[in-house]
Amino acid sequence: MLRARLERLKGIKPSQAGEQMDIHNTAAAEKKSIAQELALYQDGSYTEGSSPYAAQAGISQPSFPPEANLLELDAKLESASKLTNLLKLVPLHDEEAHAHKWNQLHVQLAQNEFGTFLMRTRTYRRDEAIGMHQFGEWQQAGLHLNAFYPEQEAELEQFLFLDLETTGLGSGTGNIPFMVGLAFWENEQFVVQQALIRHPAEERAMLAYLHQLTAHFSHLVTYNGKSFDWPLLHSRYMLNGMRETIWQPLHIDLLHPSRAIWRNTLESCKLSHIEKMRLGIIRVDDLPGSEAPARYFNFLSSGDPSELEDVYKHNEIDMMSLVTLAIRFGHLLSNEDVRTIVQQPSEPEELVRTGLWLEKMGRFLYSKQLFQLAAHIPQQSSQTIMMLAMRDKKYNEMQRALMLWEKIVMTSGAFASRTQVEAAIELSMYYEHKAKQPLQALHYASLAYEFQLQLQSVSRRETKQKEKELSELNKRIERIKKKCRLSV
Amino acid sequence: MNEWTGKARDMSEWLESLKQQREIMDNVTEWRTISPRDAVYAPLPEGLHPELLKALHAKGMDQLYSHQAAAFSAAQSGEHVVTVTPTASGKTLCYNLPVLQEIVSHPESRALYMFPTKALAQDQVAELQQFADLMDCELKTHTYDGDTAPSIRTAIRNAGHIVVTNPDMLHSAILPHHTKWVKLFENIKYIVIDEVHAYRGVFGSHVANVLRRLLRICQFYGSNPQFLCASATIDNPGEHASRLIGKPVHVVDNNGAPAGEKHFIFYNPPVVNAQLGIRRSSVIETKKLASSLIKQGLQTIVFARSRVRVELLLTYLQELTEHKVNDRTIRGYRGGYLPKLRREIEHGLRSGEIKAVVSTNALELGIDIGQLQACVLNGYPGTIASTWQQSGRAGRRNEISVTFLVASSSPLDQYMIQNPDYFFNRPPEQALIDPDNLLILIDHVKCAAYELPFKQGEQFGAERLEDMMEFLTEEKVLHHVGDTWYWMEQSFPAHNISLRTAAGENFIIIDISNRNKVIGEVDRFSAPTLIHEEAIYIHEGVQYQVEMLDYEEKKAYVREVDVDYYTDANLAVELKVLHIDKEKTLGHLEQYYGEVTVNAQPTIFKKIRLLTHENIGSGPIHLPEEELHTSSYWFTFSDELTSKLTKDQMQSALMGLANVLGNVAPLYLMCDPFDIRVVPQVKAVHSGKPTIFFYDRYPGGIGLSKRLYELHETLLDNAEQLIQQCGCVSGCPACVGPIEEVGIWGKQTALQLLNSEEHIQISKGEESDEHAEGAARASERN
Repeated sequence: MLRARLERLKGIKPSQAGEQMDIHNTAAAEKKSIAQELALYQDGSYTEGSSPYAAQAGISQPSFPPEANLLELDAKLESASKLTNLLKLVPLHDEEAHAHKWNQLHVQLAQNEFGTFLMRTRTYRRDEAIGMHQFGEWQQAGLHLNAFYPEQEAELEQFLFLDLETTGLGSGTGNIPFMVGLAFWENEQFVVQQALIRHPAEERAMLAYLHQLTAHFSHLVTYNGKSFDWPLLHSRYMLNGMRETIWQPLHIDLLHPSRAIWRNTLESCKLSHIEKMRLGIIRVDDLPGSEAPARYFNFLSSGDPSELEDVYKHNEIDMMSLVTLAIRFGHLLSNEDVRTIVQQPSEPEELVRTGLWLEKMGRFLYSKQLFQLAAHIPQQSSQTIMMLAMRDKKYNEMQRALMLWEKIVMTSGAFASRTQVEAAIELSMYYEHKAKQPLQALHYASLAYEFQLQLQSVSRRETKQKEKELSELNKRIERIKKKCRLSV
Repeated sequence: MNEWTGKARDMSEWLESLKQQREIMDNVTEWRTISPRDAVYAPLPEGLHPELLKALHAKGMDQLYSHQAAAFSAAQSGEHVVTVTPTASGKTLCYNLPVLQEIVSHPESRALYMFPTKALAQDQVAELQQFADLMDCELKTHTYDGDTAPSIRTAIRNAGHIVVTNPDMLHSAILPHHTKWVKLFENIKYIVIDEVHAYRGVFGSHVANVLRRLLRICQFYGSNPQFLCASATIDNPGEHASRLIGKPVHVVDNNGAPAGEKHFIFYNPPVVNAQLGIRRSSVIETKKLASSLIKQGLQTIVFARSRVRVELLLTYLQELTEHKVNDRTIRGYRGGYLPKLRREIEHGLRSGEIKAVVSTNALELGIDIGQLQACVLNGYPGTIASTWQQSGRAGRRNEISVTFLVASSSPLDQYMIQNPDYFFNRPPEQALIDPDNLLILIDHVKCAAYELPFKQGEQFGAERLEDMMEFLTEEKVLHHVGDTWYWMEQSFPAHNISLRTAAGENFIIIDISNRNKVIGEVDRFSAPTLIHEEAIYIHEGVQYQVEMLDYEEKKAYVREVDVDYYTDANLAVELKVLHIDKEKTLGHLEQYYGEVTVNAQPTIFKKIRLLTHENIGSGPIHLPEEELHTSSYWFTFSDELTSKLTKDQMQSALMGLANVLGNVAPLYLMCDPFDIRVVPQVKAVHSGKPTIFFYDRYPGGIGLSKRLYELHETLLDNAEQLIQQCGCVSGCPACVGPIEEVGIWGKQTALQLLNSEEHIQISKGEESDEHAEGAARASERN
């Protein structure tokens, strides 16, 4: 396992890649009728099929060619599980418009007491991956996500991943989720379900199913779902008069830890960017999410399911990217030396921010390693060092804090930086109050004053503010001087 | 009278001394004393909740005014109510009492208050909170507007008993997110709409549709709220409120509030050039009267019609306190000031710290500034209703108050000042709205569809719903499934629809000479003529020159300057007739009502010297043209008549008539000054005939031109009377316009057009009076 991952990281093709590539050859053989497939599910003789995008597990390797038209390759209907049995699924009848095309997309008709909608189901085996983590790693990593809500431990099967495709932006009542992407761990594999409404009148049936499904889960995992997906669904339940039944999950929104860690080191904290930079997921010919509504509108007017092919694909990758990210965070939270499992962040700031986040989540072992690493990287911004020093101060690890502040103060540049002023003040405070060495304190306070003067010669701050800052430093110096005299 | 300081002991002594001053009295055309009015009380109604009684007693209220009692009983009987009362008559209790009674008795009940501005909303919350503090019950009142912190919004949605907001917020934030407001919409018992007279014209037509949407959502949640409205005195409060809310209303107008004695003085600035009919500037006369009041220590409010005049007057009046360092007792107040500054000024007025304020009609609405002692109106405010509202700002109970109306030389002002009976005897204007203006309606149908899908058989406005649905489905905005139409578009419709103007958001003014501070804002209609490059923009009495106007980004960059002129911009207007809906012929005159397109482009600006008002230069304005498709009323003159005049004469005559008509028209319309325009054309594009156009300055029109078409004869009679009564020889700013503009034949030829057998008309539109006013508005020329 570990070997395979390391090889992937180093750009070596995974050993099973060859097998996956064989799908090309087997595709034709798999054009069995759906009825036959269903029969296979029922007698249990069906063996797992691999999912199309798993073939892209080669990650960020240009040498690993992208697969063309993946949907075509995969002709299998996935999974016959207890949760998917919640819903009566049948192939679209020939009389339904474009039945053939729906079948090609592996989309089935779902029906419940509120009406109909469409459902597409896929599975991802343990040994498959679309980025640098195989989905089977969920077994080691998943439970560590319980760190988000330590008071309620969930099983691996109780995490529901969700991502919506909607007709607009925001949580206004006119924004309709036309596709609900869902993923969960079942029978040692990931099941992805994509519910689609062919028109808004099918929404009730879809929501009713979602409600039925969610009863089996305790945790919800999303990306930006706290601000977007979940409030929107909430609103849809209200609008459809189903408010009594709204699920109250423990919600893990991975946007928040992502922001905590990558706020400054990555250009954007969009999932599509993070997956590319940190999870090794390269999307080929991916439909930008912003174009999904237009495709759906085209579908509404033409009725042609092929308009939605790219939307299905986009949403499916979103789902599996989210799962991959969750695995990564799970590993991080495992509190072990995970340097071999999770790719080492390269930016010192990222190391520090990751450590800070881990400590916030109550994980102290790995964070220490990260800080240690960060502290010894020679080239790094003084802000990052400051961040780490302030963390050390908080945990009263003064030795390194002093070292780091010193490092900032010693940095030479054309002009002093604000961080240098702050570091000098921190040092002065330490020597004045903790170490009780007023002479040292005076030295750093004077240094801070000097830095401040330099800084102000180039600063565009208001004069008032400048004066205030200087006079505060002056007060500090005067106070320490008094102490010096007393101690002399 | 203190002989040393010249200070009178009180108002009545000062008024007596005024009567001795010839140089003032010579210009007073009317001095009416309105007797004090005693209070009419009614006992506290039966069945008031004990907590409410406790609070009323604690406030020292053992009885109610008659109108308060009447409003309460009408509300209790389940009717929609509109209370019509003057300023400072305790009208808020008319709606607060029923609302509080309901909430104290049923704590799950909710109420929604809507005020036209944020400032009014904040006043209201303070007052309700005061009440709540006197009662042993939990009553949560919150404002919900753009300033509300996101962190407390959720709490307000779930727990606020009374949510105080404005129509814009309702339109773009609350209604489109109604699922977050379930608690409110399920339990809403009352909707309070104060200042209903402010919802007129385009704005009012939008608001009526916002209310349609609100009711539709209430219905979805199974509630059926009752409306409690309040209005200033207008001619048609019942009809207007009922049109606004779409339901019959019970009118309460038995005002029982007492009032002190009021002196209403009409003051016409002296003629300085009889031949040209030029009067002394109303700004200077206003300054004189206001200074005199301020020196007496009387707390005074001065109303001016434009922002520019406010700033001019402020500059002049602040000279009074120039010798005192940092004196902040004389202040300006207008729309462009930022909220924090306005709150500070309002507070200063209430506390008495501020002795005088110069304001636009921004202070006409019920913002709480306490009651002042004197009021000076610089120019007729435009409507009888506004005049009474503004005058109502002065008048403390049991004290004598005074209001001066200082006429400008615009024809309307001169008509009013010379016909005081017209003002004192005529009912105030009607508030007009057209909630079924198709453009406005369809905008709100979109918003409504976004909020809740439309079902077959629903009704929204006067149009057939199915037709609108089909249209919007074809436009790919809606999707039709079975008997339901769903919103199916990426956009958020409310964001593209502004209730206040046809034109979206305001321009902000950035002072680059002072750390890029934002000092104010200007609405989009005014921007091309007020803040074009090189314009002098006056703010809080300080002059700024516009250095750059970023039209796309809606920003004007200004720098503080000290110059002795201001600027006045011209707007070129082109009109095309698209469709004629109605027509009739009267003598030499053919009248039409129909649809037109208007293309307007600012052309040049003039630099006008302060005080002397002489033209000292000009420059071009480079801004894009704006196009408007609207309804219009116009009339053309017969060839026979036309042949009697030379082209130049016709030009003068048309321009003169347009000047008069543009000023007379507001007598019949209660509209914002920007809502209607008059344009004369010597040779109209569509007919080649001399024509005067009136048009609604809103896409699709809002019923103003239509009403003028109906009033045609009255309108012309009034115009003729005004020109004839004017004492000038051949035209002056008070009738057809100054000679420089209409030429020496202007007055004569205009009359000739009107007299020729029947009626004949033409139009154009702006007063020209002192150019101070002109700077605030565009003068439209063809």
